[in-house]
Amino acid sequence: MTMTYAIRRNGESRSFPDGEPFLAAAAPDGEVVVLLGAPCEPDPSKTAILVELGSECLGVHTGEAAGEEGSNVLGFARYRNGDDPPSALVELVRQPNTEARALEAARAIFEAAGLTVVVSADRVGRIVDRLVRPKYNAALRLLDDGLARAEDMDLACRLGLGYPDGPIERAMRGGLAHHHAVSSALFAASGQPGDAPARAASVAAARAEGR
Amino acid sequence: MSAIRKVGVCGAAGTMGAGIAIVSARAGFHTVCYDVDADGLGRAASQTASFFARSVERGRMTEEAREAALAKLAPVTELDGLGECDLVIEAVFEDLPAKQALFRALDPVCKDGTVFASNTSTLSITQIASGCGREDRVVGMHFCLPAQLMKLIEMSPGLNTSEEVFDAAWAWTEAAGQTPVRTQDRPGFILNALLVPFNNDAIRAVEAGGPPPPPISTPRSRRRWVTGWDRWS
Ligand SMILES: NC(=O)c1ccc[n+]([C@@H]2O[C@H](COP(=O)([O-])OP(=O)(O)OC[C@H]3O[C@@H](n4cnc5c(N)ncnc54)[C@H](O)[C@@H]3O)[C@@H](O)[C@H]2O)c1
Repeated sequence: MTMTYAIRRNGESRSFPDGEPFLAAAAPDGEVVVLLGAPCEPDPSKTAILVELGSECLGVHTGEAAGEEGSNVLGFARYRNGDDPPSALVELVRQPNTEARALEAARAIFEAAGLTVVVSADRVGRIVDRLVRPKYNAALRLLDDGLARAEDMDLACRLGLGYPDGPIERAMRGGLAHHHAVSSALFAASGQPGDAPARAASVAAARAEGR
Repeated sequence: MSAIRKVGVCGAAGTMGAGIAIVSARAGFHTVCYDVDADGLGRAASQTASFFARSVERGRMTEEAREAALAKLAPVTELDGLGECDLVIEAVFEDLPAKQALFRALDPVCKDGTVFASNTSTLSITQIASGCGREDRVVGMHFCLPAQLMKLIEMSPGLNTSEEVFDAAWAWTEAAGQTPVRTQDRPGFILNALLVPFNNDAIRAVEAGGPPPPPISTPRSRRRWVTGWDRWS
């Protein structure tokens, strides 16, 4: 399926920063509209409207209807650890009644750009953050407990699990204050203890705020 | 430089024990393979021979090295066979009384200086050592599956382990071509402490209407699972 897409942009995008080929390949009036920070207005004449998400749910932009919500609007975010360059992974967010053709159109434009698409329900943290943030918190807590040195924990994960980097180095590189922000959003939504930001992340967030 | 020359592996017919014996023999240590299961030892020996043969085929080992490694392996079914070992690594069932009983029985058999190491995944090294008669000479030495392919070893001292013994065991792991990391004596050490809750989270995410398993975790090779964030970095 070949799809044209238009981009409506308002400020810097975490998924597609300046210079990304995806921006240059946009058409002025595409079948799909990609909103990078621009407000979401309903437009049933479009095949799909794609809203770039931060850590919030898509429902924040579309409203919800007691679990029956869904339209031609989808959310998306390209996974990115802090200020690392965006990865090739796009998390596409659907609602229970999202139109199938909107989902397929969204998948098509991202795949045509060489990206890999996974589909998630509309939950805070989607797939990646939902899985890795508790892990960073666990690793930071184990570090506080004195289980092992940070380098040894990272080395263990690289050698034992095949990760390219360990949880501590990765959380640090992404920024502990950023980790705190995402983790806090997860914790507010889930109430799960593992999602609560680890002490070191709270310290970093307090310092970033100048407290 | 490791002062350890002769190594004993208890549970050498098992998954981990057989792999640990390969690591040890491949690095040039005389390796006594002890198990209560004589048939199992026979099966492990033929699997080890096939493993070394494949290593030669794939150019990872010379024919001479294969022969030398095989010659270093000695299967035994009596505890007495471990008497001359400088280091005994146990990889018997994950059962506290079984491990305690083994170390208690080994104490009078082994030399005073012999170091005992446990490959336990979840039990306390301090508890395994307790009552064995040489509590200061017991360390945690947790290999990863499959031991003959994975470099990582999580090393943990028990409460009573002397630094000198810990250092000697550490030096042996390096001499055996492994990469040790130091961790506290806690259930799951580093890897399992992080991996087990992560696996549970992944299952919960799928149950809660997330994606089907493949996007979360994909087997990248026959040897190991590469999970989660690495695929998108
Ligand atoms: N399988 C893994 O993934 C893995 C990884 C790391 C550590 N471990 C740990 O390694 C240990 C062994 O696990 P495994 O999976 O290899 O088990 P296994 O069941 O494959 O092998 C255990 C072996 O120990 C032998 N054995 C039992 N009691 C004995 C005794 N008193 N004396 C001599 N031999 C005895 C058995 O005959 C058997 O051959 C456990 O402590 C386990 O927690 C396992």
